[in-house]
Amino acid sequence: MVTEFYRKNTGFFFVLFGFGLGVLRNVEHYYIIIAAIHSYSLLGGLALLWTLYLIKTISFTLQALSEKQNQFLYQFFLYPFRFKIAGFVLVHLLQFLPVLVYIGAIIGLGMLHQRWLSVGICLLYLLLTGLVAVRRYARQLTYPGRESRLLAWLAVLSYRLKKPQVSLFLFKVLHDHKLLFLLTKILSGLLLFLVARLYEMGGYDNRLVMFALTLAGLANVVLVYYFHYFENVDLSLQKNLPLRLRQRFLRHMLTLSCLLLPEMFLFGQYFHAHFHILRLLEGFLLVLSISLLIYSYLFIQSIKVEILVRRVFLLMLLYFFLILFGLPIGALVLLNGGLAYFIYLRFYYSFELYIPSQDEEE
Amino acid sequence: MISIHQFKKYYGNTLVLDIPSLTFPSGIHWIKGKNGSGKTTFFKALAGLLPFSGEVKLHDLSVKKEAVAYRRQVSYGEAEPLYPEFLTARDLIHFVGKAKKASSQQMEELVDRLDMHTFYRHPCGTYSSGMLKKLSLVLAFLGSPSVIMLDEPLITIDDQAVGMMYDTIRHYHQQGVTFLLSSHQDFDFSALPLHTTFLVHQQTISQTS
Repeated sequence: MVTEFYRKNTGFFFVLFGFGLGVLRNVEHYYIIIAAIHSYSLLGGLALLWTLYLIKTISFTLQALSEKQNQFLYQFFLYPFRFKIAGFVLVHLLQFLPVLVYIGAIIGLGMLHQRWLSVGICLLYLLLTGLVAVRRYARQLTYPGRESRLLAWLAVLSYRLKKPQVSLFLFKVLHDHKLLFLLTKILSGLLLFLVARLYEMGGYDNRLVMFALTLAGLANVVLVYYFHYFENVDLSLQKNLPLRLRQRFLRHMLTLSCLLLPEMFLFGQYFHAHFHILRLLEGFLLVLSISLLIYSYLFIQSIKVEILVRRVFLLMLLYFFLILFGLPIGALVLLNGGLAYFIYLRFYYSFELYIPSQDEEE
Repeated sequence: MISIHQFKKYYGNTLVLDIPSLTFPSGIHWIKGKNGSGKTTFFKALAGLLPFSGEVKLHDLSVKKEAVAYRRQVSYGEAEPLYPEFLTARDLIHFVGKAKKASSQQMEELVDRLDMHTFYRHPCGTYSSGMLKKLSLVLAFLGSPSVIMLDEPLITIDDQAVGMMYDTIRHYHQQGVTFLLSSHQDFDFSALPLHTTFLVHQQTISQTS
């Protein structure tokens, strides 16, 4: 459960550690921690981020427990109580390790600076999160197969309504990728919010906004990956359907547009007073064209999500320089869109989802 | 008539099928072969689901060059179908039916034939393997295909459904549809007018009778 958690989230940890250890230096971490032990609002902000990570770990374990291949794990219910609790605690601690290390540093520095209340808050937080995780795992083993309210509501909706084709992946997201969706939208929303505040305060040029929008589009990379996987594995039968490539492309574009609605809404909300309507439209198309390009790129060859994330990181640097040196956004949209369509036409039918084994890779 | 020339299929560096030349005339054909012999890969390639090197044509329609027209004529029913668990049979039948221009009447008739009314509106995640199989068979019959490939059509469905399956195949065959059927089990030869039998063996396919 633990190894699988880190393996499946390699992309996430790559970005996290890239930022935490590459962008932020030791001295900056030190000042953040010192500020956190003196400011309860900052400590609260950090606790919010840790809680999002906690939700991610719990959701992963619950999802793994509900998968058919892991049903044998329900035998664990028959083990002695102490043994079970120790197992749950161990799983929680190992998955929560990156946060534990950070909280450990806060507690250590808090003790050095004699900020006992901050130390107490951190210890209480650790205790409470541990209890929540262990209780949730114990309930899952005791009452397996219980549907969440959202899933029950979706089942009722499914019974009554036919789902439009464009909405199929959105249902998949609600069903299987709720947390990923939420975290992605929080991240991109936060980014747009911060840039909007900066823009109002400092009168920055438009390139900053467009780069933030680019980052917001790129932040959806894992969702786009899952969309591609969904179309080629869960709905693989649709490759046998008599649909023209431009019809398929259009359908995928519409689905991606729906997926990007939150970013587009926030962009419109924050910048409608500063930008002409055409500039807003240009921004919408920029986010969409970036996602389309990533989506089409996945048809060139089967790659793992962590490799895609690394390549998207390089793409981000390229966009940074293109925007910095003043390439018109309209040209960037055309470039992305045109390239995406060309790749799609060229590789759609020749693509086969095939992840080589480690031996073959070597 | 389906004609195959210089067909090669690799998974990674491993050659799994190599068919220099093969023709399936109109009729009902049985494709035999052991587990892992390549029957499903062969069907999927013919259905346009998997890329391959070489050429596959239905009359003059190439699976690669006339991708849309070819796919309108060639349908495929999976051996062990898996669909998104939140989709209902109704969602999938309408999704596929719309693409294949199937009439509402045909959809209803097929749902009736395979007795799917009780679970038609329920999500696929609640289906048994037999129910999933029935759904995949209905999807394969939708539209106006001239070739239907059914991979292991008889596994996991009950005896009553097997009987209905034979009836449905006969019914469509009388309307001129060609069938490629793969199966480990022997077909009821009195129930189906089998035209030829092919064997998938040692990475190739040859006619045995």
